[in-house]
Amino acid sequence: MFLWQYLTPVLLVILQTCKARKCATFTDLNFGHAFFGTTLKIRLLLYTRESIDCGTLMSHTNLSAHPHFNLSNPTTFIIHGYRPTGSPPIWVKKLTQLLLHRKDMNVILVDWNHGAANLNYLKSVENTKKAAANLTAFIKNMEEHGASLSSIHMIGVSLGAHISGFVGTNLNGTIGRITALDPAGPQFKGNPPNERLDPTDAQFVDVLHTDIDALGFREPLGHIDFYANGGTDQPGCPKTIFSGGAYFKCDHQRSVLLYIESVNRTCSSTAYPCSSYKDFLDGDCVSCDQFGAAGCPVFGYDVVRWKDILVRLGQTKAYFSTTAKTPFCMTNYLLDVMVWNKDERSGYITAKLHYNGTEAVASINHKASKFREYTETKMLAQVGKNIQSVEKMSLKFSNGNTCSPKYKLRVLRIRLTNLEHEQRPLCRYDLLLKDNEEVTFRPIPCEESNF
Amino acid sequence: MDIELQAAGNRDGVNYRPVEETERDWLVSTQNAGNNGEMMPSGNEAVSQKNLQNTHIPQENSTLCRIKRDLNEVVFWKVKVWMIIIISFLVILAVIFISVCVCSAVHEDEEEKFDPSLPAVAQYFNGSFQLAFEQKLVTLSSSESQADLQKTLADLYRSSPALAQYFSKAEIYGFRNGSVDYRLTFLIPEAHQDQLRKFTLSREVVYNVFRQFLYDQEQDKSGQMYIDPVSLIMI
Repeated sequence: MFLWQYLTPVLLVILQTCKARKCATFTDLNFGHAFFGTTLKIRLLLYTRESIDCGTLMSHTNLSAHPHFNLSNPTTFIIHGYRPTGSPPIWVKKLTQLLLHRKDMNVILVDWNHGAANLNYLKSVENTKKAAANLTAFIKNMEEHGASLSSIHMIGVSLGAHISGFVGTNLNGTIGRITALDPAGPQFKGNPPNERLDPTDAQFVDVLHTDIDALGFREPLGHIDFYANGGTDQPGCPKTIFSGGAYFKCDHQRSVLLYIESVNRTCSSTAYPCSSYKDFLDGDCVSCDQFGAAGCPVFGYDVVRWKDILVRLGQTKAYFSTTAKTPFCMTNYLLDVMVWNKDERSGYITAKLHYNGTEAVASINHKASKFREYTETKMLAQVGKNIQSVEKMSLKFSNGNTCSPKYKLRVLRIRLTNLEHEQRPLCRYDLLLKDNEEVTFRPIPCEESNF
Repeated sequence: MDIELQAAGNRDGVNYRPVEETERDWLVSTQNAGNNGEMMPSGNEAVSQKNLQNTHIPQENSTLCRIKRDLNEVVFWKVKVWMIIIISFLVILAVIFISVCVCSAVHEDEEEKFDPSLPAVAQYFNGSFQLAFEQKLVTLSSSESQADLQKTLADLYRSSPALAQYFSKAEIYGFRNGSVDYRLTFLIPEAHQDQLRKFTLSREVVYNVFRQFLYDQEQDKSGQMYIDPVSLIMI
């Protein structure tokens, strides 16, 4: 009895602290829920710098109930997509944390797992409009409490991208920015602009496409549309169905991983405006003259720096390539080859760059290049490493035929230009590339050229 | 003639006894047709028609067997028809393969041929470079070292795939305060003068071939380097 007198207050204190510490987490559903279908229920989880790891479940109406929610700070909404298994998305925590590290803001994670978890995709699509109506009401409420709509950024993944678009339509495109990560294609392809995401939905709409041939959307939807690796098959993703579920979602999910890397500033991927990925790989789109001093846009969170020019240009399609795993960025080089062979030669060039005792293989779009006398042949060489200075270089020429004359490529000059960093191009003159024989040499800084 | 061969085939084809009966029927009927110009119903055929269902499979078999028999015919010695077919296929393939390989092996690289007797005009490149080490300069003043330097330059251009065929000579003609003057002479065939002057024998190529040679030497770090790449001038 004596003991209880002391224990009770202690227990009460512990209970209270636990209650206060209890964090709201993302709804965890299972396959059973998805199988029987779920009805829409939207939970808004607030994260701020004061509570980076601990979400607060927000009231849709009473904003003043959350002292952390500072309406003078910008607010970023994260909206996930279709959840066929009902599990929480693995990337939300990381993205939330990185965003908060970047800037002091309110991150609101829109948890509509009840509604997105449904084996019947069409039901989830139906729910997007309702979810958008709900979010619109919430944002209007925020505006009434003094928030500025132009400081609102919505990051939508897949179906979430279209939800952002609908919210934008409802608010007449007054919100600051919408970032769409591989916006969903099925049920949205061919829709009129108000039935999908479009550039009028926000002051600035940036879109990343990673799976345009399956779950994503092929056509451009924003002011700038980035197509990673052409927007189709992402490197490192399984090519056959034998790899299980990853076969379906890997390309689609890559969009989030690439974006997270850009928020984290792991490295930067410069994107090149171009009419097609093929032209980009052919080295036809290496200049960004239309962007003036700003240069080519860099994919990701910081593309907002190009906002004014991009909005003025209307719609821009930009391409970049990535590696198979993090860090995903690649450095682009332009390789110019001029030969003095009298007859035209065609074949493949393989290039390696040596630096600091290691070497990096430059991937060159593997279609046979044509080499004509005294004509420059351009090739885009992409390297998965950031090389400070190229010490040596290896080149190999192969004409691709097993039983044909061993043609030689008589190179007058090769020039390697780093497209991303202002560095003096590297040159080498007078090379004889025998079929399938690697030649290693030390490139020298180029001098002014007159041909 | 045909029938004789078929019969010979039959004799060989001991394995095909179960269908021999129908085989012969077929032979007989065609023989009849051939001889008389019209079909003569034979007793055996009537039987085979009665068992139409049964004969269906043997007839198919018989076609197969006939092909097998045909293939097994001896043309001469122990060589059979199927061997001839396979061998002729192999021969055709070998001929194609060998001819392609021979063509590629005897392929003459037109660009390696060069006719020095063509009328040519001389093209000169003058310039200078700085010697990096003073002590070398002392030894260089001897005519022997001058010849060495001259040889190094000539070797460089003679081993160049693009320039060797046009290269004539290299001369070293003066030292002034550690600076060496040189002159390179190339002979350009009149026919392609303009293009050659613009590209292959442009100052850019001739100069940079020298320049990259100096950078390569620097890389060697064997102490051989005595020309500073930055000091290289060519007009």
